[in-house]
Amino acid sequence: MFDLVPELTPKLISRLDHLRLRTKREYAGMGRGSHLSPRRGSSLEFSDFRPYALGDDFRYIDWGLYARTDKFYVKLFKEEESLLTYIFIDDSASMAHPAADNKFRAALAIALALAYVVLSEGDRVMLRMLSGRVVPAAAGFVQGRSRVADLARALVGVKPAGALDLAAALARELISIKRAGKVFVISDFLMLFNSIRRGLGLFAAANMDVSAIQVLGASELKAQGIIGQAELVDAETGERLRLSVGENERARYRETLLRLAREIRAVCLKQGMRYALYNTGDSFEDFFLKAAVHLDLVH
Amino acid sequence: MGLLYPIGLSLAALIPVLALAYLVRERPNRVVVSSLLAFRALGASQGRAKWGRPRFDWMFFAELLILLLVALAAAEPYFIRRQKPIAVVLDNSGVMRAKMPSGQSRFDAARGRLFAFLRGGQDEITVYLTAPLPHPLGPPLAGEDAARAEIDKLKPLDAAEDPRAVADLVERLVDDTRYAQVVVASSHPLRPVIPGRLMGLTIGDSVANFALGSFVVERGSLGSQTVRARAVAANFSSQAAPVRLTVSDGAKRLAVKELNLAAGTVGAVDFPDLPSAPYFRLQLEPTDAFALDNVAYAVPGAGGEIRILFVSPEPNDASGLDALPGVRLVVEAPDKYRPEQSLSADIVIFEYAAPKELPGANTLLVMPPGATPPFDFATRSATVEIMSWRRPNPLTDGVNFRLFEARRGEFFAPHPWMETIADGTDGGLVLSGERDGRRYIALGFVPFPYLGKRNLPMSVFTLNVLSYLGRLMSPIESYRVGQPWRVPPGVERIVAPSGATFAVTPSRLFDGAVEQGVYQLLNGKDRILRAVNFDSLSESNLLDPAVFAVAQAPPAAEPAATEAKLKLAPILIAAALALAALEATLAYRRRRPMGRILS
Repeated sequence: MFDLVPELTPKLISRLDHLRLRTKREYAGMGRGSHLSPRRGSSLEFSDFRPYALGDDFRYIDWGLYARTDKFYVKLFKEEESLLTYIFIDDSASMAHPAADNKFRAALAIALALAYVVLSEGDRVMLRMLSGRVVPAAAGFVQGRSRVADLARALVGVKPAGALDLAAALARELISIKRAGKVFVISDFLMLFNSIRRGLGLFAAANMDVSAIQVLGASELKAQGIIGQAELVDAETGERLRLSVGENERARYRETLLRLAREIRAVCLKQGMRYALYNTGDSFEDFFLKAAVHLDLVH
Repeated sequence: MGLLYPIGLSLAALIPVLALAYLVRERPNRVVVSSLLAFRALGASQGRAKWGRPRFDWMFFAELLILLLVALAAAEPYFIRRQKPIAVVLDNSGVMRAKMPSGQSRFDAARGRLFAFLRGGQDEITVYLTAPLPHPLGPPLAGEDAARAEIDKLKPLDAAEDPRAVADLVERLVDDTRYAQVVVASSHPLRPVIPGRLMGLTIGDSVANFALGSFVVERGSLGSQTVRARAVAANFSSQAAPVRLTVSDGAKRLAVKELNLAAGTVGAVDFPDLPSAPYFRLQLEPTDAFALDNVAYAVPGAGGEIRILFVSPEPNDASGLDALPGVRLVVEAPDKYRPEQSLSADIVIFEYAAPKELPGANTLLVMPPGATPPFDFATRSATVEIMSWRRPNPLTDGVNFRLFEARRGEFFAPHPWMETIADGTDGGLVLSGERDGRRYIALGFVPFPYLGKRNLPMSVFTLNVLSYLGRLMSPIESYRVGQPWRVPPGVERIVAPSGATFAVTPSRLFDGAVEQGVYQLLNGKDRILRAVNFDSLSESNLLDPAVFAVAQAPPAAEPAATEAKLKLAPILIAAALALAALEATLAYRRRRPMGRILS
């Protein structure tokens, strides 16, 4: 795996072993796990009382309550289940530009790191490409830490291409999701702001615990290589724009990109979602460990 | 300056081409980007034009400036700078070798005063020298330093100068409005001085001086083994003084004579019987501050036998000449005569023939053919009869021409440089002249064969002619320093007294005789000696030196403003090149990946 995704170094993996995923809400999972579930279960976490019924285990009768009310009540406990985690990766053409920034590989590294943390806890994870392309190894939920390598092998074969309407893509994915859970959306979010807000808002409205991770390239932020008279071609739509770019224009472009990122972050926080920005020019390990706090990855 | 020069116009027309080149160069690069979203926010409008909007950055303006500089250079602009040129006349004659009481020569003193004067900051200095003839040292010199460098190289010559010629030069310079000032540095006083225009730097005070004038030697008679010499000495002082004259052959003293000279007088001394020697050196004592004119040299004619080269189609006419004592005769046909042969002869006789160039020895021409260079005689054949002759004259001495037998001969028309000694009814019959130190006699009749007492008048005349030519077959007087002379036939090299050797061409003028002494003219193994002397008593008069008398010109017009054009083209070209180099360096450092696609 390390040679497939160089960002996932052994040192980082060893640190990922100490992280676990936390959710703001309790979600009903699949099978036993380590996350509290809204279902009644046998964990140590008290949930409620209910009147004793025939066949209930005497050990759960609350004798103190019986003394006060002269009625039998049994104590109910929460169930601990595995968490369902959905990771959506933007594999549109924009993720392949600028090529020197390796944005898509960075997105895959983030996804695999998250998947590793999830699978390490014994939870289940599903990785989906927002273009709708299905990765056979991740077609459904996978479980077990050993499956990370399989995921990595399957994902590195994906080549970003095509255009993406984020709202439509997320809506399509939402329809196919039967149980709520943790959701990560990894994209450069270089699209219309309304599409981002609506797309992410769909999952928030569906009671999902949504985290948005934006990946931007270092040279992309600097508009490197674009100077003088330039004909700019949109990688997704093929649309063209002629510009005269100087140092002032480059500074204004960078400011625009960063303002867009700030607005996305504001929307996320307003709707109870989490947000992190990764600049591919920075160290991946430093980013991930710092962003872990914002993404509810705790020790 | 003219921007309308074709090349200037062409370069100016390149300016729009440069702008067009920038438009072409600024054709947009296609770059694939992840999204146009942020770029669209820049407010830029989508362009559909074929060419992008020109972006005239610093490189455009640098190149525009380079083009303008080159176009301007092609127009050859210049600054006009007013100049203050002066002319300097520096006396480099032999008199400037005279020592001053300080031990310094007058020339060094003159140079020092000139340098002090030049500190005034003149723009352009033209230096003239006075000896042997007034002449410019070279093109005008730019500034004091260049003038100092050139003047430092100069040395005074042994030659005398011509005060009248120098005065003429100074007059001409004063009249020349190009010069703001004329400065004359000489031992000769300058009269009059024109304030602000003509300035004299007179070097040295009036001092007493003893000097030698001419020093000549000649043989007493044909074939004589001894020579006689005559020397002239002068006393340029305020009191009478005895002088001693010593003749030597360069090593051994041959004769000494003393002479009492009254103040300001010139005296002559004869040395009647000097033994033969290749050359003679005369020393005057007491010596004084001006040593150059205390010495003189002389070269005698041939001693012993006289060699006569007889060139004639009638060789029998030479019979009888060899009967003369001390005469060795060589007869040659005209078509076999070579000019080099004249070098080994003391007298050359051409009968019915004439050389194609002046011979290197004294020459007798007997009935020469007319209208042939270098003599170009105009002759007319007739029965000759001598009607008159010049007396006294060494050629006519003791000759009764009335006793000449009338024969057929030819008359000479007046000649440009030969004078008529005897003439008849239709023109001259005996012509005599000197050229380049040689004597030439032309006869319109034949005095041969030599018959001795059988034809006494003709024999006396023939002996006169041979004596005249034979006694002084070498230069009749010494040459003066600085005087050019024609190189005799066959001479290939000339060795100066200092040992300097000059390769020369026969018949060309030799002007390298600028030092006093005995020169050697070499033709293979043969050697001719030639004495060259200062020999100028007027210049030797240091007590009352001649004045450079400049004619008082009418009030001279203000010197015209002299303007110098300082050409700017080299500066502009240099600036353009420097700018181009700077632009290339910066462009190399800031080069951008053209056409790079971010994909």
